[in-house]
Amino acid sequence: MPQLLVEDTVKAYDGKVAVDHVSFEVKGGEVFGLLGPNGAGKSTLIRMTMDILRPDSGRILLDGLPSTNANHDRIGYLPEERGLYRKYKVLDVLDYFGRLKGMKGSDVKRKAQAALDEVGLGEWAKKRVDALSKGMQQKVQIVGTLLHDPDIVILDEPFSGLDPINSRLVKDMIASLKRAGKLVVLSTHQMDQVEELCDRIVMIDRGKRVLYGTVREIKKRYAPELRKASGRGNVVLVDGEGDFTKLEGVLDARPAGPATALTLAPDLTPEAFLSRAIAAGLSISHFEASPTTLEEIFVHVATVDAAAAAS
Amino acid sequence: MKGKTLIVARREFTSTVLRVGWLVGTFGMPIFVGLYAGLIFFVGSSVAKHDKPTGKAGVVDHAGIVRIAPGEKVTIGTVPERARKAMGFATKMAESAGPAGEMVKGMLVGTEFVRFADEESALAALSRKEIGAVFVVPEDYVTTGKVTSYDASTSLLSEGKQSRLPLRRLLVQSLLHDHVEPQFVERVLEPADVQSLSKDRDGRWVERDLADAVRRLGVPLGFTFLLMISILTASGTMIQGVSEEKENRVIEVILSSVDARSLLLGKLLGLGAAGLLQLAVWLSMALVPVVLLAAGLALSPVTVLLCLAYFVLAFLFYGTLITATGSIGTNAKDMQQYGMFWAIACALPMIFIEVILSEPNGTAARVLSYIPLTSPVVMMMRIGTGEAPAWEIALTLLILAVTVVVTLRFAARLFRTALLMYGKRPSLAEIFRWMRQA
Repeated sequence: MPQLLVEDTVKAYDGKVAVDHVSFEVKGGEVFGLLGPNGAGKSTLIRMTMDILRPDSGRILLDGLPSTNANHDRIGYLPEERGLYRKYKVLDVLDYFGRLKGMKGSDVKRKAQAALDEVGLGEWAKKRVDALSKGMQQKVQIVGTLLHDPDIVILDEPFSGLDPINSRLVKDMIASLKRAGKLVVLSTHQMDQVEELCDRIVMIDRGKRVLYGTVREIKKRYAPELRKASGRGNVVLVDGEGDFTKLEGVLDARPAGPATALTLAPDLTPEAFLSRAIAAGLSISHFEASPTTLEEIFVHVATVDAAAAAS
Repeated sequence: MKGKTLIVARREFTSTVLRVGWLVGTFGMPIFVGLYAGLIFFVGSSVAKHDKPTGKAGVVDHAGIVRIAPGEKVTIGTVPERARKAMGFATKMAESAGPAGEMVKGMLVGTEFVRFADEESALAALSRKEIGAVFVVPEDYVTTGKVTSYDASTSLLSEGKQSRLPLRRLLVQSLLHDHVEPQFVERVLEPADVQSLSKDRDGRWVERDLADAVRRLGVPLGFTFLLMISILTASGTMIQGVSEEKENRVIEVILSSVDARSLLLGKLLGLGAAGLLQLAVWLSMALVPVVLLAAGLALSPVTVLLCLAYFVLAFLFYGTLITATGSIGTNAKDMQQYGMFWAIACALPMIFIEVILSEPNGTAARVLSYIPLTSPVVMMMRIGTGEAPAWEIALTLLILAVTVVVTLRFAARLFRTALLMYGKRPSLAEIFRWMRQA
């Protein structure tokens, strides 16, 4: 199984530090989220992983060996800035991409055709790229990324420009890559996708690592801090008969769809609130402890970091 | 990595040679030149039909001073011995050029002047096409110098125009006849037949054979010319391709598959091969004139091979420079401008052509031979003169080859960084930093 190790990596451009002593590890069979605001240093990290750029210090190891040109063929990369040769036929572009990734012989085109068939673009193989819609080009690009069956897949904002159906297609593809034991690095801003797809994440801000771990761990770790920062407690969603606002420890109530969102006092856990409500004889048809979202953590960490940098 | 260089080269080659522009240029150019030559031939032969050269011109002499020896042909001048060989070659070329060439041949052979008593009889002979032109020398010719010419045709190559130089000789001879001795007449007509001597490699004074020099320089000058054309066209294609990749953002995918040096080298080799194929097509389609030229030019296989070596190295060197600096530009127009700078540098040694040819082993020629930017063109010219020492040829080829390797290395770094920067024009300090960065 492939293994990627980023060890204390530093990269500066013109004296401005883009990546500042960042370390993390990714293993085959997991989907790893690389998160961070714009300009945080994600692209630099990705480019260093592929040896397009070299770190000023620190190491990037693939299976324990320094990342070199020789690893190009093992990596499939979907850049955020999509690019295809617009004036060439879809199949020819894929053939060129495949050959540059070390594929040989006459079956490159055959494999490309099969991959196009799979994503429903079979009939477009002989058409020029610029005859395709943006979404179709996006799919061609994804086909090109995976054509040579890489064990390491780096996807930079794979869902941008895709409709819900094609987003689903890409999600299924990521899931099957994971099942096949591939190492998937997913760089995205869409936090709901991260929660849905990623096993572990690293968040970079201003070149520094600010979050690292499993999504569950991070949420658990940051929930109290977020509560403290907002000066309020947990939020729960309830639906049922009776007046929940009268209960002790409920600070605020606002409608949320058919239910009501209640803000609890900082020392009141959702479980304690639930037993209190039952004890009070209120009938409950729906109860949900509304957890901290990754997005809230992301925004919180980025703002705290920005404030620290400013002071 | 070598395999990837070849993949890039193959793609650049096929995508170049399948471009409409390339096909039109490659196959259209010889057809265009052929049609053009055909047109000249057609015009020439139609002129010749109307105006078959008679080799004769009538003279009506009212001043009574013109002396004509019947049957004598007056030429445009005495041809110096050393130029005669070249003239012989020119006459051969003229003959093969068909009827239009007849006119040129006639010019070399000379004009026979025939005396007529008056304008009417002369003009009658002109309309019967017994003569090609009539010159009337008026009574007051000696004071005014005026002569009237009746020309059967308005063509630029008409006999009337052709006979003007012979007429001058005839008039000078006639005017001086009774006043100066005959040998002085010749000297007035040809005051100086200069023999030019210069020092050779061993310091001896020897005569430089102009015709021989021209023949020996044919190959190097041809290569210099081809080099400049190839560099200009290939760099144009290259910069167009690179700027497309940069604007399309494909470059990000490409650089994640192949390192910048292999990419750069592959592109240069692919485009170079397309350029050579174009040359081969042109040469094979223009086979006849090439064989003719080869007969006239001293085609030494060693010279051709050496020139080819300089040509290939120069192409790689200039191609690398043009592409690397071109890649700094943010769009195709910018890139062309940066690249143009080097194309001009390539043509620079042509300014020194006289210095190099007159002193092929002089200080200037030697210094320019060791500077990679000027080395290829200067060395090709020096080899043409036949006086470049073998060790200097070997040394300059080595310097050029090492320069290509080193340039490719730095250019690849610049190329890679520049291609990943979008829409930002770098400062000079940044460019140097990019080249240092591993």
